[in-house]
Amino acid sequence: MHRAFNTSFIVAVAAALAACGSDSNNSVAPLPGGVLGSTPGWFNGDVVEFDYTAQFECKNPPAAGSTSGCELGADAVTMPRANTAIPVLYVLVPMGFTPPDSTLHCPTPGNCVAHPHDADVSRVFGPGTEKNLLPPHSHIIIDAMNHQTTPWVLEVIGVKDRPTWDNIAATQNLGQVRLLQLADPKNVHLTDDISTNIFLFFRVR
Amino acid sequence: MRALSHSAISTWRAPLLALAGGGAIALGSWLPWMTYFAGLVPLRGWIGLNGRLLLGAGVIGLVVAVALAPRRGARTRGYARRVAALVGLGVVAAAAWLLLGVWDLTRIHAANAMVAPRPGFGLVVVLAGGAMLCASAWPAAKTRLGSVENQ
Repeated sequence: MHRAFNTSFIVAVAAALAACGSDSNNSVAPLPGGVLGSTPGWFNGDVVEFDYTAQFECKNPPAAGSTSGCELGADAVTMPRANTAIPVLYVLVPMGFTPPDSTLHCPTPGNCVAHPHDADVSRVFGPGTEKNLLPPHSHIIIDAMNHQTTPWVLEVIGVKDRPTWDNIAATQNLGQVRLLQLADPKNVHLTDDISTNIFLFFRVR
Repeated sequence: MRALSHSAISTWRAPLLALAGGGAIALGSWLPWMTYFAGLVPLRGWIGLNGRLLLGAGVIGLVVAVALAPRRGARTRGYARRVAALVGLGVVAAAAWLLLGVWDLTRIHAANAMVAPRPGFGLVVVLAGGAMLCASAWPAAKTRLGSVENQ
């Protein structure tokens, strides 16, 4: 009973990392060339820009009951159309510490188009939570996909301590993240990949 | 022996239910009501007024549990049962309403889609606690009915 109830709510979730600039209600006009917004990310030791060209999309997992069809932790049943295998955009989330702003891609002022720094959660939590600060995070990819627009599936990785975060920020390379995960089978310093059925559409600049 | 244990269960059922209910409400107000990033960043009920009010309801439940103890007078226990029913119903209604709010907040919205909101289980625990607190008032009605029938 509890499990079914909880599952139905988990299903309703969703979370589309609609990329910093791909909000449906955003006040940012599309840039020339059909770009909705941009956000930085790490790729092979460099900082690159992701140009978002479409809204996020969620493909129904088996249990998805939300109107959006999004469910974190579930694999998609159907995939967006793509000419090649769908690459992964990893979102790195600091847990329990505050990294330097220079190592964060969102939300840092001026970097993320149309991405707010706080959210109004007072409907649930009551007065005093109208401006609940959103957690910061960064992005990392392993393939530039020939700088072509393509769907990307979102996965989340939690980083649990500052030295591990600094290590990743210094190398800006997913290979280093993989090495750290291999050396940490008990997930003391960082989590495994947490899959979602959220797809983003962008090209790497 | 059997009659004794049945009697003991009847005697302690209400205070134990109130104790469990009050504890669950207080615990649920502390547990995450929703999370960001697939459960990685919890948002606990206590960050806002609603969670603190529910914590207060949980404390009332614990006080009611003490008041329902067999050593207390019949009048005290009668008042305690009414309070348990009233607070329990209020908590159940509030938790149900807040769960609807969580469902609404965790659907994809433009403003929060980036942070992957996800429901937590704190409010479910609060809801269960409220139901237990309500249930602690039930044996009283049954006992009273039995005494009326005996007359």
